[in-house]
Amino acid sequence: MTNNGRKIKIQVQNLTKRFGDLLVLNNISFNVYEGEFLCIVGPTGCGKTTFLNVLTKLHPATEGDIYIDGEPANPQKHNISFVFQEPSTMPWLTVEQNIRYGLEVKKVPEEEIKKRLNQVMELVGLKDFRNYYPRQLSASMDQRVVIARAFAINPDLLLMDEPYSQLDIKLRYYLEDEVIRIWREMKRTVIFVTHNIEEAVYLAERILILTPKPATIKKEIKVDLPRPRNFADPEFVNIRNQVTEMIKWW
Amino acid sequence: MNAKASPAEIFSRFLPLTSLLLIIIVWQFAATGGYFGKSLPSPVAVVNQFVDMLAEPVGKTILGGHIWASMRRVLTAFAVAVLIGIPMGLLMGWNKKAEAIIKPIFEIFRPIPPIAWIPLAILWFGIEETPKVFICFIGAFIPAVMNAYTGIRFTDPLLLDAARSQGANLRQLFKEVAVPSALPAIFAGLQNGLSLCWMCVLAAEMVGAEEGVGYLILRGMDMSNPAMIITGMLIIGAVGALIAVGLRYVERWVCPWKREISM
Amino acid sequence: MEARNIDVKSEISCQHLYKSFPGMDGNVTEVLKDVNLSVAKNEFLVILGPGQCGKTTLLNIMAGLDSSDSGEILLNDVPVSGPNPNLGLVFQRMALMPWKTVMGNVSMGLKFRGVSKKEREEKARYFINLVGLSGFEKSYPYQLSGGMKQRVGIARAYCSDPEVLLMDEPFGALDAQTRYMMEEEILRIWEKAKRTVVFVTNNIEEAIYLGDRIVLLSRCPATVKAVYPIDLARPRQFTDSRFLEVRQKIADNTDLAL
Repeated sequence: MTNNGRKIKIQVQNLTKRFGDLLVLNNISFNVYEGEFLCIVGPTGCGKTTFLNVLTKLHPATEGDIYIDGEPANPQKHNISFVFQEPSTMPWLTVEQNIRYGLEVKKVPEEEIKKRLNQVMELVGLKDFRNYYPRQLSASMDQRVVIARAFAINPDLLLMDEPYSQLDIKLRYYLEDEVIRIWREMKRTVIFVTHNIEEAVYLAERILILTPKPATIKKEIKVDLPRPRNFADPEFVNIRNQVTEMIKWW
Repeated sequence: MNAKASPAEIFSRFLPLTSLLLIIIVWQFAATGGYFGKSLPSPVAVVNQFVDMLAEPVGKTILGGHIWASMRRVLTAFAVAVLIGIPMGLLMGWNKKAEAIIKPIFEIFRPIPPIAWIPLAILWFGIEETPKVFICFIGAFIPAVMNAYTGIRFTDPLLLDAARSQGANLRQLFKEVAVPSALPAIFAGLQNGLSLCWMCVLAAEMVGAEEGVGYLILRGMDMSNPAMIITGMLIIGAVGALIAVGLRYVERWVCPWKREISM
Repeated sequence: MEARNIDVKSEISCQHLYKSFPGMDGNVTEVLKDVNLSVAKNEFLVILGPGQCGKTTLLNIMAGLDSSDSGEILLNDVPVSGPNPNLGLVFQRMALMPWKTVMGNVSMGLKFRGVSKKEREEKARYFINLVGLSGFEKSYPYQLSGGMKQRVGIARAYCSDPEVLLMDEPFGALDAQTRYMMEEEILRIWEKAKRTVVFVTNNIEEAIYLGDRIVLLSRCPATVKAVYPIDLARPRQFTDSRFLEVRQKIADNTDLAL
């Protein structure tokens, strides 16, 4: 599949994971294109956590491998950043220190750090809060710090694991729009895992649907709707129903 | 779970045994090498001593008799401590007034090691059985009370609310919610209490006794028989471990639901 | 509107409820401010509010577990002054007794009331069956999945035979799919054993899927911001255009906390 002439950034090839005799991931292969926003949805208990752990190299795969820019993925070499559902800012660091921390770990030169700090804090609207501690921030600002931190290291791959599933609808809408805006600005490759199908259709350029355990890819759906997308648009509803059917009725 | 264990797994399973074996080997070499003179018997000598004592009396009775003598003291003290301590702890945890009255006393007595009571116990009760049982009682009593108390105090208020909304009265809340939810903590207290009890009995027996494992150890010292001392020490360890395992089984039987409270 | 007879007469109502808590820094946090609502007999009322806006406090006061600073709860015109067998509660954290089996948990209310073992087990078995847990009577909570635990919670609330069921975000701790399933289930159970339900949630879709009426609460201090009757036929579809319309309308009226 060609993807607007974009080159392949991430290649997942024949990814298989067994725990003893238990097959959890069954021969998963897919590509993610440079700068793409990919959503992954799947039924409960489809081995999503295992999938992410293998994808990020936290656990070794039983078979298959992941390539970034054609090389085997290596957390020491490639920049992979995460956004989880749980607040993951470090409470003892200020907003600026939180964002800076990841850059320092990656040994980014000081000048570059300053440049990027300014860029992302401007982008997420945290400039006036750079010396605040996380406990002084609201939930949404905390989330913005996490997003800023994730984008600041210019990740080769940004993984988001149900970051908004516990938020009120209005705040979720707001942050969804926010993440799309930042993604368009920063042009990073994003894999966004969610259980919320509407959210997937709202965000994704492409949706991968997983089967129940052992997980494999059931279907790939392209979402070619203009942004900002409209939940009530018949085309949108159509795609949403299509995905729902595939997850709900086996 | 998996059928075949890799060599590495087998190796790691045997690691604890390896370390034990290593200690015995080092011990054997140290003993036969004569670095400690006669004060360190070899493992073989200790085993021989153990077998001898099974049949041959030391003082008044054979080994089994000594173990039973210590056990008797421990179990008597433990039973009394449980019978008084747990109700007291439950009361303290449930009733704010009882807590206010009783807790300060415990705050004072808790840091005093049970062994510190030995001189007073001898002055009060002489040197017969009573002071020994008393020392053991102190050892078991404090953990029994404190754990029953904290167990009740840490009852999840949500569960109390749930029972209240189901129409439970105060007595039912206590019996049906607070006590069962405190059981795991109470058992942890019993574990602690019993092992403390067992340690106390040895201390008490060393001060003056004619039978018991503590007496054996002291007798071994008097007779310059280190093998007897070491046999006594190993028996202490083994009995203590058996008691802990036994209690764990009782706990599993009394609390068949999964442990959700760990102290 | 469906052919169901909702009594016009209110069964349970809140009248001018106020509640505040002392904060950590000596300030007083106002949680409820003049909350008024009334629920008709056999109505499925959903209270929708943002996270931490005092919904649980409100429900606890309605259940008689907590008291308000002023105002009162009327159950059939009688003020509620404490836990009442006519008010059954379902909790977000399930609140099952870990040491009791499914049977023991469901029948505990009857046990408290001194109902004989035979009678209470018979009744409990009926409700265990109603929530679809036949065969699990002897299981302990730790042996059940989240969805099953909450079924036990629902059966327990039903088993004491209350007139009103108060549900405090009962599906909030479940994963997305189990949640959809339980939303269908609770309607099935309710259709079979009609009771007045007050269902608290922060999930707007759940609210529209379930409720005959939605009471929208404001952010702290909570007060009733708007009331929406939902006259969509059941079973409702999440992607139905009317459903989306209602959702948009309610979402526009909620507070965004940035």
